[in-house]
Amino acid sequence: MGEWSFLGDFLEKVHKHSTVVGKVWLTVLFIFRMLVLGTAAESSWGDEQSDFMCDTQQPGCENVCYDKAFPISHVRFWVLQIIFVSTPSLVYMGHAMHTVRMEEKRKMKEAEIEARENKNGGDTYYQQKCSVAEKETKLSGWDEAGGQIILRGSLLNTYVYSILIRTAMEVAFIVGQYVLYGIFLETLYICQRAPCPHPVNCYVSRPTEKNVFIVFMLAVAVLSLFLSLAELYHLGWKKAKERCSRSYKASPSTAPGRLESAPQAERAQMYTPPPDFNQCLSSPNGKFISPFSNKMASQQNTANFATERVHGQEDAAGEGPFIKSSYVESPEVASECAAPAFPENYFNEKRRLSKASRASSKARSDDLSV
Amino acid sequence: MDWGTLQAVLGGVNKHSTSIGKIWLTVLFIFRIMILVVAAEKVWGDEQDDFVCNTLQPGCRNVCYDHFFPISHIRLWALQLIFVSTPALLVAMHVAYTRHEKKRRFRNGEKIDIEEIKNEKIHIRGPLWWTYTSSIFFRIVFEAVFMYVFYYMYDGYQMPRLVKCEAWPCPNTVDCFVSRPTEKTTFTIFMLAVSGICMMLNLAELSYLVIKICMKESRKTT
Repeated sequence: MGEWSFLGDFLEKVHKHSTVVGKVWLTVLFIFRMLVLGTAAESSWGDEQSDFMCDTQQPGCENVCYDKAFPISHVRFWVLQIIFVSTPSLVYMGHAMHTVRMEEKRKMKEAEIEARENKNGGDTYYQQKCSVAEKETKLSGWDEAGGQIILRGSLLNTYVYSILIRTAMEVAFIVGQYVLYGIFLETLYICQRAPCPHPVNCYVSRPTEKNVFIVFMLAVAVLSLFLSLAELYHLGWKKAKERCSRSYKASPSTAPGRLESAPQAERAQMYTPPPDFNQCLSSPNGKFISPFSNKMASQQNTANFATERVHGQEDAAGEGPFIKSSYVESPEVASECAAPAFPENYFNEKRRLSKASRASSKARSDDLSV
Repeated sequence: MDWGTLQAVLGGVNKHSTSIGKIWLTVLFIFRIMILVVAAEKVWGDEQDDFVCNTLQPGCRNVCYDHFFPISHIRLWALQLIFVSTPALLVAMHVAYTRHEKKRRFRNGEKIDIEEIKNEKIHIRGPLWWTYTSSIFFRIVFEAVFMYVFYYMYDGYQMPRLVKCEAWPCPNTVDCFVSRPTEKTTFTIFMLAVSGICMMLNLAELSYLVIKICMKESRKTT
């Protein structure tokens, strides 16, 4: 397994930032494919050419017949399969690391801006921005506490594409193996190729043991394919259902707050509005006295959270039986405090989006923290 | 062959590379070194044992094998990988030298935070830019040279099934058969393709660095 450590190290990192099904897939890859290949299959195929016997004395006939029977050895074929199937995950990992780096750069820039603002002697109001902004940048792309990446927006797309490509590779290699060798290995191979003088009987070494391993590796490949498809279903179905339920909720609802939730949620997805001013004041260090009344806002906030909780419960009920994941609704936190002058209907805004949120404003977590 | 040492050394270089440099390093480790160790060495493992010649003349087989395979593909690839990785060490040495200088200034009493020196992200500017760019240039040159050497030494990238040998002490033209020619051709073309990809990545990184510095210069002058 030492030889596989190059790939193993990279995939360990991917393991940390995958969904549940992704982790199962990686475990199957490590244990049932890499380990079995490295320890058992290699020794079984070790003497494949030296014990490939042909019924002839003609020098060179065995060489050419072996070459014709096995254009590429099973073991090498499986090595290539494992590498090509793992590659999309590495691409996703690269994108994730890139996203993390961008987030960190953004955080540093914001910190610099705040430091500059403070130096310029801004209002105490803007001082509130610091603590709230820090909290928000932590939530946006990178969970410091959990050390995990949030699957959202373009990162989610990359993840889905990587699984699609992985599935395609898996299918291609399974079909390729069938085209090259069929399913089972025959004991006898009849060879007619120069310099063999006539059709010659050639005997494959250890055919039964090889067949056992061929069937095993084929089964594991099919299992991996199934896991990839399950992960696609898991991600795709949830996304589609989310969209459907959101558009369904746009039609008649009881509380006045709800009526505006869907169109405003859609509108909110197109831009990130400034957060609720009162969120800034909720910090315990706030010495600022608000000239605005926050009673109406807090009433509507409770209505918002109630709506979101109902959405979350519905989603949880619709999950498939074999995939465990939990969708947790977390109240949105204000990204930064805006200037006091708000548009009139601002306090009706249901979704308070983070600056980094690009796609869905709804929080979800399936082993990736949100 | 112990590639772990190379991995340890190049891992440090990874921190000071551009994004393209990091991709190049990943491709190098997974698609070249790993394939070489896990797959290709086994394919070429029995290349001399199973090199069969149609003669009973003692020594003829040895001489013919030596004539047609002066350096085995495996050894050539190992050399190629070592040569191609070496320029990155120049960058590592330069970074280490810069850090050493900073530490020396710290010890001489200047106010520099020692923790900052350790964790500082080195930006590719000034003399480091020249070191980095020349290392990429040499990488490209080495890749191209080795690709040509393969082509020249083995008359193309396909492994022949049958070679006709007339070297002494073979009494006449003798047919010799190479072991696993198809599998060897497959891996030769695979390694060639990955070399090509690495060269493209290096060219992209070179142009990215050059364009970045040109834009910076033009911004300074305007």
